Amino acid sequence: MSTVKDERRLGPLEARQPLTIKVDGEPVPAFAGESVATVLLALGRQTFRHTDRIHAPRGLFCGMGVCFDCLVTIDGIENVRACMTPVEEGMVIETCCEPSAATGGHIHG
Amino acid sequence: MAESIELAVVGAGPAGLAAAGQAAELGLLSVTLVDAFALPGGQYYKQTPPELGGDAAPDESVRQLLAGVDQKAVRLLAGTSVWGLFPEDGAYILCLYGPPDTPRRLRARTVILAPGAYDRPAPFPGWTLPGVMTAGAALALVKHQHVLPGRRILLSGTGPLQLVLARHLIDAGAELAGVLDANPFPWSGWRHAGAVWGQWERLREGWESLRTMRKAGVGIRWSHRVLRATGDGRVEQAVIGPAGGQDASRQIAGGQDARGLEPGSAGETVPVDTICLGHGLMPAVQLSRLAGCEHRYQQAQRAYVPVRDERLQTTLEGLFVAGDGAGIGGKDVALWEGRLAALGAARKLGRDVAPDRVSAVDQALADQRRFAAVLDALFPSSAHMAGLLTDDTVLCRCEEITVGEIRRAVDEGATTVNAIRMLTRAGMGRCQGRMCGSSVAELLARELGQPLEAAGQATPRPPVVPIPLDGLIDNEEA
Repeated sequence: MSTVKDERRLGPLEARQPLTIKVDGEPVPAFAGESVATVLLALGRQTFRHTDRIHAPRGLFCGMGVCFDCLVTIDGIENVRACMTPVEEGMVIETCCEPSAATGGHIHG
Repeated sequence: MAESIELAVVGAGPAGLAAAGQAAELGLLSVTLVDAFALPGGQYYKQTPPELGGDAAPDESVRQLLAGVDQKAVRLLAGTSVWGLFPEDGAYILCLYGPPDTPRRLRARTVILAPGAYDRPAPFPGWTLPGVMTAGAALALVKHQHVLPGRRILLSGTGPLQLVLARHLIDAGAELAGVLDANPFPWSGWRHAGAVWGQWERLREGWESLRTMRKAGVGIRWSHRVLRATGDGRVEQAVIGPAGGQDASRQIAGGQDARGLEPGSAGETVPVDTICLGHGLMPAVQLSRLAGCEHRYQQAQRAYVPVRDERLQTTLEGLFVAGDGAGIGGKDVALWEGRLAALGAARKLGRDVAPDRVSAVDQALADQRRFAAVLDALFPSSAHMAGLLTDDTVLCRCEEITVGEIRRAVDEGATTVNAIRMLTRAGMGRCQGRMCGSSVAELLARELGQPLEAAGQATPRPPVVPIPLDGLIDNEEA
């Protein structure tokens, strides 16, 4: 993946360790040390989910684990903070484009 | 039985690292430093992950602080949240949630809270659109994740922090659509020459930021801010305009804080894909509030902060607060407060602490506080733009409670943050009111013409951070 032309990642990518992960079923480039939020933003994806009540789009906001806006589903676990979660080999990330049936206060990450 | 220790330090930023290192040096036993992030450093000393080419300790001061944690008998519990803090029989019970082998409870004879701060939420119509983020988020992305948050970026806020962000974004090749400071140009800066004298490192940093901006042809527009943002599914345009009256930000009491601004104020439309908001910081007081020590409203901070004595002890014996969590003072104030709190904890634990040690720290702290006060005076937390908010603006991002719903609750008689929470659910979501509490208070001040402090503080409820249900169960007792 180190030969990928990358418009948003900064610095040389050759020395980085590429990981194989999936976002919404598609394989995407990712590197060790990056957060899930970084991987999504590097794809140009600013929308991480839609809200339950008015189905409004949301993405990264506070970037430090405080606001709980950047929630995604990781390896089947819902409501994980993308900004606080480092990517790992084989990770399966789902961004939520439809309101979730199982909501409530169940939070991970 | 919860494990018993002499000192727990919560938060591994400048204050917490300094406190833990100092405590270990004083010979305190079983010093435990708890931090929510994977790597210690907090926001100011945030470390770049080694896999992204980060040096584990980028400069000498950080190296020393981290060495204090590595080598001097400090146990670091990283990636661990403190979701509860309760006084019990002359000690404190800390409830933790972290990686599998993390203790669920600690019983600490003394506690130093060093929770730091988060970016002060500054709502406006469109602020929930993807692409609108805090200055802190953007800085962490470009500096420590080596990724650009967007291509065409607008900065709106106040103070030197956004100049630092501007420099990093320009160096990284982003196009800046503008840098807006809600305060007027700090003409009165010369009056503070005495307090600034000697702060050469900071002046150099500020100067370098300005130089980078000038080379890139980016100027600062003083007394301006973003008025609203629009876009289909993400931010695409920002409308910018004057930030209100010249002394808008100094107007503390309600009603008139955003003179000349109303929903739909005319402005200039700028195409952007990212807006970074840097309207100052909010002290993270959730744990000190939950513990039950007294807090008082501080005008200069536009926030409630814990009451402390000269040794940084709160109104609860053995509970200390150091750094931005007790009022925004910046990194250097935090470092010295951390050390001072550790000296206080050592004394509380019956250790001999030489008086000249304390007075040396006192002196250094006084110098740093003088400088922090200058920044406060020149770049006050921008007045809240309550006047800009349309009825359909979402104020509580978690529960999606709008300004209109809160105004209706005000009509029904609500005058406090707690009453608004009960009537509307604003502040009951995942962030526990961190994102909307101050805005609700500002809106109440404007609607009712009452001082900000009259809105009171939301009563904190454990867990103060969301954790999975199994985290609430104490395995050791079950």
